[in-house]
Amino acid sequence: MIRTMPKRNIARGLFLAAVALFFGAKAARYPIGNLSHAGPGLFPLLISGLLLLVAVAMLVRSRYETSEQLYVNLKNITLIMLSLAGFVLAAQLVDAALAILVLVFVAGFAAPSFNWKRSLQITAGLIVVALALERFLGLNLGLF
Amino acid sequence: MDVLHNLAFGFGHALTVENLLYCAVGCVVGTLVGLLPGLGPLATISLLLPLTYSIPATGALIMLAGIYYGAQYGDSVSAITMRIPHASSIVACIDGYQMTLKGKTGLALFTAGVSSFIGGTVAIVVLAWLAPLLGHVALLFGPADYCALMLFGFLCVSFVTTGSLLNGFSMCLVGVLLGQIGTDVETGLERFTFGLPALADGVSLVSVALGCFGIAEITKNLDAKDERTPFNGRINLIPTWPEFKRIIPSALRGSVVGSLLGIIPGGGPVIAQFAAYGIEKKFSKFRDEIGAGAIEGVAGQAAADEAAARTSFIPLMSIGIPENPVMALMMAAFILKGVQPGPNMIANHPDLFWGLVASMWIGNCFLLILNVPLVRFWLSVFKVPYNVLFPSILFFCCVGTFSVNNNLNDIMITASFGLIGYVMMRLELDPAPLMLGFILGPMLEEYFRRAMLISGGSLKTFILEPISASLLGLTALIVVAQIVLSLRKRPDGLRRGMA
Amino acid sequence: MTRVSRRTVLAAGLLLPATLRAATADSYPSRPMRLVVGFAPGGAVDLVARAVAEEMGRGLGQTMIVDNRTGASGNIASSEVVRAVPDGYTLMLGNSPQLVMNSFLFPNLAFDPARDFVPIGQAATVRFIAVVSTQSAAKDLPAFAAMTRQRPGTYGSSGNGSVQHLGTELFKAASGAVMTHVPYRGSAPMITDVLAARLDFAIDAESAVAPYVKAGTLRALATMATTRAPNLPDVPTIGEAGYGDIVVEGWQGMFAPARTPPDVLAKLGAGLKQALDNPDLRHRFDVASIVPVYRDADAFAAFIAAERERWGPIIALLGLKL
Repeated sequence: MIRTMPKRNIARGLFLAAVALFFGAKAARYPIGNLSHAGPGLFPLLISGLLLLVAVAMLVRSRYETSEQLYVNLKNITLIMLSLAGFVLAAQLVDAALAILVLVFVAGFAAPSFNWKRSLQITAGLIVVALALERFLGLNLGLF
Repeated sequence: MDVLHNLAFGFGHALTVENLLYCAVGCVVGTLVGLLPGLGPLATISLLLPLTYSIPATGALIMLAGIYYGAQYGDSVSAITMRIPHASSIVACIDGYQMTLKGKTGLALFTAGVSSFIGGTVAIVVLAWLAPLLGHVALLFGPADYCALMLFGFLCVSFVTTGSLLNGFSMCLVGVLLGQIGTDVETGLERFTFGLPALADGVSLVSVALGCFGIAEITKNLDAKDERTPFNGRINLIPTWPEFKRIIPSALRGSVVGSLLGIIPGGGPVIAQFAAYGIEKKFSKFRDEIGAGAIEGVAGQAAADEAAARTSFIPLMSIGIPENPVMALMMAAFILKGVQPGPNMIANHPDLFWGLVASMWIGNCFLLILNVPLVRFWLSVFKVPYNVLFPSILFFCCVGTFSVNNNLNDIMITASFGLIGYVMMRLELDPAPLMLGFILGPMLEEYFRRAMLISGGSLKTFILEPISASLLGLTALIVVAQIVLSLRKRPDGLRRGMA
Repeated sequence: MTRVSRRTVLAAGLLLPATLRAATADSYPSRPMRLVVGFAPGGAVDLVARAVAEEMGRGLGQTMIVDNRTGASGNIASSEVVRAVPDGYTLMLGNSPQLVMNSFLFPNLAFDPARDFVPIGQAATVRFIAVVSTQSAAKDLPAFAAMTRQRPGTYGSSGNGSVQHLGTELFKAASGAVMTHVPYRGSAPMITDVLAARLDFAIDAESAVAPYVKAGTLRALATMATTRAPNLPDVPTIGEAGYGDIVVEGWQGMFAPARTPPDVLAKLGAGLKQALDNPDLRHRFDVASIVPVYRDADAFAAFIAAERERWGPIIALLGLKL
């Protein structure tokens, strides 16, 4: 669906390098100390340094091997993330019952076929389950 | 023999109608809640702890213990069938889920059930005979020894990695870095928290596990447009005799590993599963199949899981040290009932101690019996189309995350890990070594810095402590041996590296 | 917002603030109350909260639901209660770190515990005991302090800024003992290292150390209070041990968000007092080595102010910022 995706092994190296740089840059700002009295920055700095080495090794190796194109379906992961965020927002602003409705309907669009009736049935079923969890397990979901 | 006499005494207490009922209720509730993706033993016990206030001491503790190992077993079911793990069923996601994809769910669940039974039984033998002696093992391990133990544990990376070793190693490092999020124990500095209070205590294992496995897996299944039906409809629940024979040696090995690691504080089921899996991959007759859905890959870890869950009661009941959060909750339950776990508990409350030990085995039998109808039920759940199933799984991931701190914002953290997990899955990076790094990394750092603090900054402490010295020696030996072996079989080693 | 108000709001289809339905003393409480706890089930705070909630709920004729909002040293629970509608239906069972220490330890807190909470009353106190390993040569506190001046020692705590940590620093300042702080995640692993004689010293809650003292695997040097613990009658108080002014105790009390109507607060205060007299509750506290101590709202407020005066300078002196 996206044509300009990089090769998977290159993307992998870049992803790991990004993680290493992110943590490394932050860790460098914490007190480092020394080995006999390590500061909070020492350990993460060492680990991110090691990870950066691995990532660079992967990037170098990727020049000598063939790899498939990276495949990402942005639509599904976006919908799933939105459904979870919607759940949290709805539960915070209104109540958990509405949150379940939001979760099921937004996520429902990620399914191969969306169906109003089916989504309503799932919502109803999950609200019953949530009620049971609240009643019998004492979970403070804040359903209604 | 003395122990047999005591056990008979214990069964006398556990086999009253009332206590049998508490045991059964505990097992059933634990298993059912554990089955729900995302809800594990810790959440279940902490939710149900207040309900036991009105129950007599022995009954209440029998019920809570039942909830604990029931939930432990239930967790492995959701890991095997849906690839949604909890703290102690991460490894079950590897081979167990591979078996599901091959349509062997029934066999995988049966293997997990039987292995759990074997693991539990072995652990109870250990508990009954050695509990008073083994408690002190917990005191033998100082920070330097733990540090060495954690380093040793990192060797498991090469076993839980399914793809290339370099990828597995990199994921392990990412896991260690994720484990750094939160408040630094020694200085109190908040690291990588972006000033968010929800991150001050670090990311919970539940968030990482549900995000990287569960949510990522759901999205992947949705990407693969076709309706997901890994079940061919005709599944034999009872394995054939050759299959059954494969379960036993693995389960026994797993039981021993689990029993040992359960006794050491800081370890417990979470670490035992990785160790047992590593041992199977190294020593099993079918080691080449492990990783692609082998019985051994499920049996060893399931047995270790249950065994460690039970032997982790040893430090609690013999010296009063709760070695993991679940045991800390159990300790609170003991105290609430007016029983102080500790050096005098077995002498002061023999009825409780032996009753609990006996009830563990009774609970074991309950779980085995529960297994059969449960597996049938699960297979019918999977006849439900994925379109209906996946929103429900998402919902349970939310509930599971919420139940850790009763904080809705934690769900956003799980969602973020879902995104990261999805990216990693697309990059063909393995989440299992990430979990290993996430669990071991923070402990390695904490123990290392504590060892340095206590020794006054002298690295010699790692060599002077006998346990630490021998563990470090063993680690070095294995690493050197691996390198030598891979150099000797160079073409092979290279091929594995490139895969 | 609490659940019932949410439903009402939803049914009306309007987002009316629940404050409009202000509680009056005659009808209060007309629906379940929520008692927020910043720590996980099983801990001392949770135990006090559940016992108090059960008895108070019975006394007031409405259920009081305990809601564990764990995380960030109790700050997550505090900020939740501070932001709640001050109608008496959202309360907190808080402890000294939440109400006193955290405001000095966390400079970036979004609320001020002194201003945003109003005390209802104190519920309980936890005694702290100073212990050493039985392998230690020191038989009393002055001897121990002298020993560490010869050869510096180590002490454990359940975390940076914990009562254990700050209390030991108080003792160090008073006695001239020389010890390095070794922080742990919680009390259990720390006590393990004292038992194994890897750590020289620790101050911890009575419930955490008393079983070992009785079993003879730890030696208690002092009870950090003005009276001896009935459970450990042979252990001298800190005054008897020679350091009169360093009382270290953990306390728990009930709080409401500021601006809660005074008549509601009065009703809750009376309910709390009555609950703490209940023998059943006293037994539950006793089993967990928790001492029921009631202070009314005014006395409690004065006590908290004094605690701030005491701990603020120590935290500043140590340069602790989390």
